[in-house]
Amino acid sequence: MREKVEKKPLIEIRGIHKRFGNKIVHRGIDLDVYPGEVLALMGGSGCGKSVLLRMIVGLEKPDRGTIKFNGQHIETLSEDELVPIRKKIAYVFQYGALFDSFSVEENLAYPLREHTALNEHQIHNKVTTTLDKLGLRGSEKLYPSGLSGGMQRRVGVARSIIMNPEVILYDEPTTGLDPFNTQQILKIMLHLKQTGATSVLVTHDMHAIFSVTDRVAFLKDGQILALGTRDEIKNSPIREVSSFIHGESY
Amino acid sequence: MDKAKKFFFLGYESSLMILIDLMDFIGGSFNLFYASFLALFRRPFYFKLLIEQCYILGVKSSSIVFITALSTGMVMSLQFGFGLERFGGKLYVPKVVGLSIMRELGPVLSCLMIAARVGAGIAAEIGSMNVTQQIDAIRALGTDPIKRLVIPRVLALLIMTPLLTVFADLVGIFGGMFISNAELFIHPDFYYHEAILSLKTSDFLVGILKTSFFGLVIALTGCYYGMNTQGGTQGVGQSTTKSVVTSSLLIVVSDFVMTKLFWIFERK
Repeated sequence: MREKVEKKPLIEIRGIHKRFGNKIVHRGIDLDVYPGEVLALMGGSGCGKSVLLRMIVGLEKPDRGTIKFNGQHIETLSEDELVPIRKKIAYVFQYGALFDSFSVEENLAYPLREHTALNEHQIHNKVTTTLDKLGLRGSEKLYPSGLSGGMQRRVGVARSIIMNPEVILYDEPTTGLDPFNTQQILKIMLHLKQTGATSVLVTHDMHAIFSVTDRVAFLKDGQILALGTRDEIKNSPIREVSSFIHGESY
Repeated sequence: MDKAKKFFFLGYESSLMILIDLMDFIGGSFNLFYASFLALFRRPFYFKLLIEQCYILGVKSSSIVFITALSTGMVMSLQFGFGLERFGGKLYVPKVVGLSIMRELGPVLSCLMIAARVGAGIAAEIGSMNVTQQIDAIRALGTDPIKRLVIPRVLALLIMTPLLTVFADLVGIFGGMFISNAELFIHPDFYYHEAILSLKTSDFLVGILKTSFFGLVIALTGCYYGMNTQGGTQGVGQSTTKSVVTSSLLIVVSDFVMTKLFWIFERK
């Protein structure tokens, strides 16, 4: 933990406020994400975890506050200016968000065709290698409607990591999956962690939180109620945190 | 009294909601048009998507445009034939049919059919992409949904609606010629001479200019409602309905305004 604190944060979130109509989602969130760590955002439904994740990649703008990636402000950037940032920060959507009119291969090739000068042969090789890594060989020609939920998530991860991003943001990647597919996703996350990628994970899955993360932030009422290593959070004396972890009402 | 008050406030509330929806649509679609116009000149350019949309939105609409135009030409010929025969004006049928199809019915009816088929399709497709986070995915992957989804559809309809209208004009006039010959015993040579050769270039251009505007309206309305779809499959259904109703109404209303404007210019 100390080692991490001494490092310069890769993502700095300061004083974030956000509301949708009458609903206040964030009331001044401060959070740092350090290079190479896996940080989990935990909290009840509707507490603004996913909104915070979307803000990091510029899909949502804060009403107040700042978000910096590598020292560069994100909240002020236009869609065009966000393009270089989005090449470095990958977003894994809750249900994969695969393009349903594209095959698996076309889904993975999409960012490569848009942002690289690779020829079709090189793109095909890169897609095949990535699918191999994620245990998805043979699914190249399938369409999203022909994939199981677990496969869709893995293809979603594959599409997100194909550009070798510095940061990967996971929005509830294991929700609704069977134990086998959950394990597959966690294995992929652990593998990416070993390669040095920084990850921010939004989840309700305690097993995921305590098996892959380094630190955990607990959100409640639009603020961070607790922040610490996974062991510190696991043994937190804060009643709301321990009740949430043990599935009790708080 | 209470019931009357309730009724009044209910009516007031729903009128207010319609007005707010209308203002939302006007502001939102102008914003979308402006954003699309700016994005049009920035790289990358998706020519392949444009060709694909020209095929999907334009070429695939040719069958409904054909049937609509043919039926319209035939009905017009019959109605005017029987109507004008009473006054001994049967021989004016080719001129009346040619003029009304070229200036009015060809452009308007074709575009209403295109609005029903294509406008609904655009709103449903983009709306489904929105509720399944595919549009967010396009943005998160560093690409612009306006460039990938809106511009190809707007340009495709701007190109294809005038072409489909020319096709509709020809088919409509042919339908009129067929019925005039079969039912009114007007010789095709006479019909051709009267219907085509008596038309002016301005009659043709008025129709084409109108359809370019209608094409823009259909594409922008479909894209606007698609991009603003909320609430799952029910939301997609509502967007589709709104898109068809709004673009159809806009076509009919703007047709009157444009006809009046062209009439003023032509008289000068």
